[in-house]
Amino acid sequence: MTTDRMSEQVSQFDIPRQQVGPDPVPRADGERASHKEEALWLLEEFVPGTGVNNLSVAFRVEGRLRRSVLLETVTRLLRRHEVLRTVFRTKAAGLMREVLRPEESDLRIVAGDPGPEGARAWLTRFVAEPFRPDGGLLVRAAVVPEASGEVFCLAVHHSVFDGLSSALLLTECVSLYNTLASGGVPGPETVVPAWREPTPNPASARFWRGKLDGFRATELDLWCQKPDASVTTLAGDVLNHALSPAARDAVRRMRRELRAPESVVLLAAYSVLLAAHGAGPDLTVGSPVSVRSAEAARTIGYHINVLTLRTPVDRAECFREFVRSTRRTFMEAMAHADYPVDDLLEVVERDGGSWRNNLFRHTFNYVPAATDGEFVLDGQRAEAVVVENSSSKFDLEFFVTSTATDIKVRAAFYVDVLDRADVELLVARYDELLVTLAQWPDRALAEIPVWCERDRRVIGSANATDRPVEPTTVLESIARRVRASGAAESGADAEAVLDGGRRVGIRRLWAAAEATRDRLFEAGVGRGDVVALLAARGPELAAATIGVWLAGAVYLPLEPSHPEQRISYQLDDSGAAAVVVGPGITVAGERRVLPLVDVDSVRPVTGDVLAVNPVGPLDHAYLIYTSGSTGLPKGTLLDHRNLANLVAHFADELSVGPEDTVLWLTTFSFDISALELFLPLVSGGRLAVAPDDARTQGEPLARVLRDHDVSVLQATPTTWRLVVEEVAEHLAGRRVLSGGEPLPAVLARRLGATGCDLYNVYGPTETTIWSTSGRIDRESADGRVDVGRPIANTRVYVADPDGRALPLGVRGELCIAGEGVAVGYHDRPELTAARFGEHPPYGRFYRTGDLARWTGDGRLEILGRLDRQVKLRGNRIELGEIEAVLLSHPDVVAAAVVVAGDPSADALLCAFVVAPERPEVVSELWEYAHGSLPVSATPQEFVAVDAFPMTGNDKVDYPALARQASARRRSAAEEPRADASAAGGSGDRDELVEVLVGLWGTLLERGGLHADANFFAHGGHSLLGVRLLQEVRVATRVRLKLKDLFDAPTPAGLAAKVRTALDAVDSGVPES
Amino acid sequence: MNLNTTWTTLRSSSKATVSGGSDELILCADFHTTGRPEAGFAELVARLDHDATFWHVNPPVVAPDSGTAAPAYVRSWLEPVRAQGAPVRAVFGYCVGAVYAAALADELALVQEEAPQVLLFDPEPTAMATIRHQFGNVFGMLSSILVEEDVAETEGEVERLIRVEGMTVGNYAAQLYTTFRRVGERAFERAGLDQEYGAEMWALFSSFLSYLSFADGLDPRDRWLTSTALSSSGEYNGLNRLRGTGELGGGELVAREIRFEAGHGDLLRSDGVAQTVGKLLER
Repeated sequence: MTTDRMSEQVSQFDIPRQQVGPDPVPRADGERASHKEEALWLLEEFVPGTGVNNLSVAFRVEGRLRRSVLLETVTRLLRRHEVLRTVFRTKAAGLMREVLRPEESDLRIVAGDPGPEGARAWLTRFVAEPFRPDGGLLVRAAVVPEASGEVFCLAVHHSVFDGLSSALLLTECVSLYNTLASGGVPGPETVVPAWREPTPNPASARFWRGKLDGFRATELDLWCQKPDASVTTLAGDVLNHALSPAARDAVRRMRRELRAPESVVLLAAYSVLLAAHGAGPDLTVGSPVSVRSAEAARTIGYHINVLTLRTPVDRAECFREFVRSTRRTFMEAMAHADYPVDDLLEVVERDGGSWRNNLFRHTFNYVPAATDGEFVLDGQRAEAVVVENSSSKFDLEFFVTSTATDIKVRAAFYVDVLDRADVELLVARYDELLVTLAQWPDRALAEIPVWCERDRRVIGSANATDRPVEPTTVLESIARRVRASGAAESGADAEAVLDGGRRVGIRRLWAAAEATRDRLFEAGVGRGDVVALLAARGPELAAATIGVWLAGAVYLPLEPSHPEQRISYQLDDSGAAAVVVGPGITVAGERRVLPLVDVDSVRPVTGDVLAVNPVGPLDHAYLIYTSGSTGLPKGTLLDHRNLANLVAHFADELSVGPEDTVLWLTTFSFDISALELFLPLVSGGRLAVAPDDARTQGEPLARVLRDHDVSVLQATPTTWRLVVEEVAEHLAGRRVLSGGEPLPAVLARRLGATGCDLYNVYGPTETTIWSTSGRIDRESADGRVDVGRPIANTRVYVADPDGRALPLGVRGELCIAGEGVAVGYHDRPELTAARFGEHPPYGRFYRTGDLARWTGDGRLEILGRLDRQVKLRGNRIELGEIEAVLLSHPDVVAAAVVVAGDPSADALLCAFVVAPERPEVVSELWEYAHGSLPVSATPQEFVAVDAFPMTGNDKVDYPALARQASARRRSAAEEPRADASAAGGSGDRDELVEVLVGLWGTLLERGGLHADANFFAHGGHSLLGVRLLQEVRVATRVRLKLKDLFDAPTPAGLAAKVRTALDAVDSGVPES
Repeated sequence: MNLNTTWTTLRSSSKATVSGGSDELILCADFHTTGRPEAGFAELVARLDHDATFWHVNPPVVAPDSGTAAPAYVRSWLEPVRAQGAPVRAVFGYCVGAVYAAALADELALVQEEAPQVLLFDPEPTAMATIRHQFGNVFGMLSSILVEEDVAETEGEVERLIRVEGMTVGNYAAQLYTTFRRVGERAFERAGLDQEYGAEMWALFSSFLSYLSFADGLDPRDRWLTSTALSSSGEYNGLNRLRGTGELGGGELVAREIRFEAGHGDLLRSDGVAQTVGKLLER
């Protein structure tokens, strides 16, 4: 078994008791190590090469240390303290502790040569170098030169040491050195025996069991943490911050006013900080405390226990009350501090396959003294220094030191969980939070903002999008262009629409629009009526759209190729007063049907147009249907102000002018089509109509780009993926929009490489086509591609589940406010009330259902649908993350991951992939995915398909895929389970492999195994192999040898062995 | 005693003829079991460009207490090599395998025109501590079916035997194997596991313990003094260990040592090591 894989299942503390063995029993050459000592060493076995348990004592001296005195000092310290001579040995039956005799414990002082990396980096490596439980001394010493002085450092293993020991040993070391250096004689050499902690009081065990009843650690995730990594490294980093004078004074004031110790005030604020970032509300924080008895108060050794402080955060409560309950929790915990956390870990229910600590992920440590004090050593100035071990056992640890003049926070964090940038923000928010809490100790915690100045600055600047929009309707903008064209001296009609060989002028287009209006009037259509447009894209459809507005009506775009049932539903639901249809299109049912006006049949208008605008900014402009989660499409109603703002924004951002040609590529029933249609009409450019097959084939798209010299075009990533290779050479210099789905980085790079100006746009139909837009740098498209910033007159915020705006880097639901927010859903007041709301100060907003976060520079990242974040067996899983990993495989062109089955019971993850060049790649994807994903997020099933089912808007139809996956599962389960022995060699091949995969899973006690899962690489060993072969014999009546398993350690491989054996029986060949 | 050693072909030379002959054969000595975390020669060979046929030994199944002498044990390895007929260009040995590499080279030097080149990877002789450590690993696999009494009995034996006056490596391995069988069979019976499989497990472990202990009957020092060693950064492995413990006395141990950053477990999967081996073989 590789240790990386193994460590996934084992937490830093969470070591199953049976592996640790019985309680300590004294033995001839040592004693059985205690449970807490074994837990430390086991962690190192699971995460090899880590220095996570290494502590240090170090000081810097101005000048040179006397080597002989230093050596004598260290030697005497080791002779005096038995605990520093304590070593551990792994033996056949477990971990043993013994104390070396003084003459056996020969400590040399390493002379460090830091070279260009510098003394501190050298020391960090020195401290991080792992110790081993092989009987070797657990103390190392080194001296390194630094600037005008030297640094002395002792690295000591946690199993014989702790934080308080550091302070004690430093004091002793300094005093001994000074005595020896001055020629003095130290006191008599008495040996301090290692102190053993008394057995915990049974009452403490009861207390903790009661205290942690019903607790689940999976609620401790922060919304700014990274997805679980596939490999546990415990790599850590540290950030130091001195609290601002305002925060320090706030703490001192709260200490008096809230009548709580400073440590409790700081701890309670830490809990509020964590809760505001998603931990809890059933929150726990670990707090290391010394468990030395009064007489052992100054004993060196491993005598800490990390108390689990369970302090649920009720947001209706005020900080004053929260401090009170935190104080009580802390005091109670202190009274039962003798019960070791390592025993407590078994009390709490484990969730799923999570390897992580199941009691707490965040710790808080308070020391009312400086750790960097100055002193004098042999007449030279010296000061204590902190040397880190570059590891972290916890996701986040706040180590707070407090002196009369300042309070400092040392924030250590696990780099696979948190980014340094996020920790910097957390610390800054903590600083500001302390000031806020002191100001409002009696306000409900829900009302306390947990932002820092940078959050406000960056997000505020991204949302500073106000600008005037003029004219306030697209209709008025087009009319102005018609007037301008009429006034042109040439008298020629300015080209507006290019459709194959047809070139239609703007005044001709307007005339056709007026003719449409007249037909509508004749048909009795009035202001505010809905008029359905069911026609292919072309100048006639463009004119009809304008004609509907001229009639004061609202257009409903329908796609002729959609199923009749869907079209009928939309016509019925919208109550359309009339349907304008293109040539050759029929409409089912009794409806008022009008033909499209042929633009060639009208005479271009002359002179002024639109003396009176029939529509104002608040009149409805269009009604559009999107697929609803319930299965029935829902109509969204948008007004002219919405549309005018959007079109004006992109005319400005893309600098679209009279020399530009915009491609009308998208199906008209998909709202983004409206941008393609109106952008050129309002900015004086030309609209080029693309044929339908240009959405899926590169050649026709390339042709239309070339023929009409298109300068602006947009499509969904699905289209881009299909056409990019063939149109690549035609994209240079063009403005290209991609939106409607996440833009994979690979595709972004591919598009960027064509030399186009690439924009990633994002927005739901309910906030008018696009709400954010971001230019994608050719080089920077790495990892996740962001969606830029809010467009004009748009304010967005990322909301927590209570609707509060979240700061930078924190995940939540994206909400959009501003000019783009739709009127609401047509005839669906409950749905409108559920999805739209009012937020002070953002105003009316729409809840997108998308998971998002602000990047550090004020751009937005969309992390997938909220409903694509699932929880399986206690693990939070982002389906989008899995897809991103699969997409990074060179043979995978598209990936869609869905949950098959009931997530609360037996659900599994099913990945559908499109891999046209090599569909057989699915057999390798488990290993590939497992390389970057934890087991819990690695799909159990991979299916290669030619294409995904799509929604009407060219987006992946996930519900349809989920139904397919569930159906596959059901049919697999319903297939008669052939008796493998009866089936013999001719039996269903997959069936046998499946049986073996099942046995693998049962014996290795894990899911996610597949036909090529190596038994020994997934936790198997010889004895388990014996059990496996016995099970195989029961299932198949074939007796295989252990050697067979060693030769073919996968279900597929072993199945072949079984089959060979069965064939031999069938053909009468005796088994060898 | 019939000692049956076989070799696995890790890779065939491109010049290998249909009859299986090859103009260059390289032998790899190591005890490799599936699932072992340390990289094996298969991983090194996969990274080598050198064109030769590489063979990996499968040491014979023989109990440590069978009375087999180390030279006979090594000669059994050479039977298939001689039958094959091609000259051996080089011998590789990893860890304790380096002792066997030396012994194989000594034997081959007598019958070949040119003695094979010897490359030692973290060479180590067997020590009582090695046996104890490896025995602990093997025994640990049974932990889930052991009761406290089994553990106490075995552990008592492990620690008692090592202190017995005049205990040798071979004797120690043999005694431990007896204990292991006794306790293991009892545990298998109690757990309702088939003794047939038990026999296979005992066979596997006996060949492993024999491999470890028979190495003590061989003296690799002269051959090592003319060979090249490739050392990992592992403080407790190979020459690093020998220099620390002084087991083989002071002074030079090999003709040349090349040191690598890789740890003991990664030595044979290190690209740097493979490159160096490639260059060494070119000479």
